[in-house]
Amino acid sequence: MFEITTLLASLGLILATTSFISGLQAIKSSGSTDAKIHKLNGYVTFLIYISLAGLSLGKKDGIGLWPVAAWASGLLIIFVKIWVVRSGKAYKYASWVGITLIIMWLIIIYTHIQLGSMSFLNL
Amino acid sequence: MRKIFSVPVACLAVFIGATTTLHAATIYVPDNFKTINEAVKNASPKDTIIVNEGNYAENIVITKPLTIRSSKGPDASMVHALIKTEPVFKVSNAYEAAIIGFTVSGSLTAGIYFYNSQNGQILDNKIINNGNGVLLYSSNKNILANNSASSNEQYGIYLESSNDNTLEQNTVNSNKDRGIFLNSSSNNNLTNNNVNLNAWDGIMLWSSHRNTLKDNKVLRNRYAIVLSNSDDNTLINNSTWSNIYIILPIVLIYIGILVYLIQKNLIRLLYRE
Repeated sequence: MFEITTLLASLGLILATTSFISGLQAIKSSGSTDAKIHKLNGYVTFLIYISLAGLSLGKKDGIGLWPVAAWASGLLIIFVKIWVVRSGKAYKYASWVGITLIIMWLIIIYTHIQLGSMSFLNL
Repeated sequence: MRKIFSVPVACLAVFIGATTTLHAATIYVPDNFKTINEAVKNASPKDTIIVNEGNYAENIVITKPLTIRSSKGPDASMVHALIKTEPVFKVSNAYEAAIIGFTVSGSLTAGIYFYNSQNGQILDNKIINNGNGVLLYSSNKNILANNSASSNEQYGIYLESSNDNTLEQNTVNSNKDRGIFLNSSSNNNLTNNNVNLNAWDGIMLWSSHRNTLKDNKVLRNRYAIVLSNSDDNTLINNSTWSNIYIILPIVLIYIGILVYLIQKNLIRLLYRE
């Protein structure tokens, strides 16, 4: 019934939300439980992002410049987030990069909501 | 004696004559004629014209009952307007004309235009980047099925003063005005169509009565189904989730919060053990 891209985008937003909350909790409480949840969800979310990008770009007749630019920008946001965390600036910038990632997933889910028998606006 | 023989001979002659005129021919483009237009001009009523793969730049006018079909579907046989101000296919004052399996594009008026034509068929076509996708004017009892009428400048499918038509399993997406527009058209059946992402109304009924809209998916248009000055229309089981893109993300974020709580408790439980 659902298209695979809709399903993956939905799963991505769920895990991005979970990862965002656990990330904030991990900074606040320095607890290892939240850090574990954050890492696990973040890793799976990243894999979903890559799969979704591959599927969406593969669907098109030829790869367009804007879809590639959009997916590359998303990848850049993810890498900036990892860099922020690893460079010890998480406490200062965590909420900003986290919210940016959530907005990114909201855009992805919006562009992949199923329409009838086919999905449109495939970024 | 002569009379006894002459009546059956005359009957036989009439029968043979009738069967030869009734026998429909199959014409191939570009094997028999180089262009679809030439094939149409030389075809007799009830003939079938089969168009092999290729790009054709033509404006085809059909005034007799012909079936024009592509040999390998819309991705192989593409027809675009030679004169942009004319429709790509114009069926005028014809009965039982059929256009099957083409990609139709490049007309500022319409991809396929039925004018005062009855009992025709428009099947399995991709009608893209025209002024209007399919336009029916004063045309009744036609069947439009399995077409994709998308990315047109105005309407995907437009019916004016056209009654008793069937629109089934068409995809009408991303048109710059309305998806399907019925103007002064009655007793039409719209079933199982996908009408999405059109700039204005998904389906608009204007001064159109006794139409049936059933099992259509009408998503992410400015307005889903609009009825104006239209009476006695029947709407059954149409999907018009105009707020799906607001509701779905909220539900998913809520599920995300629940998943976080479940994961946290699960990991705590595992660590205790």
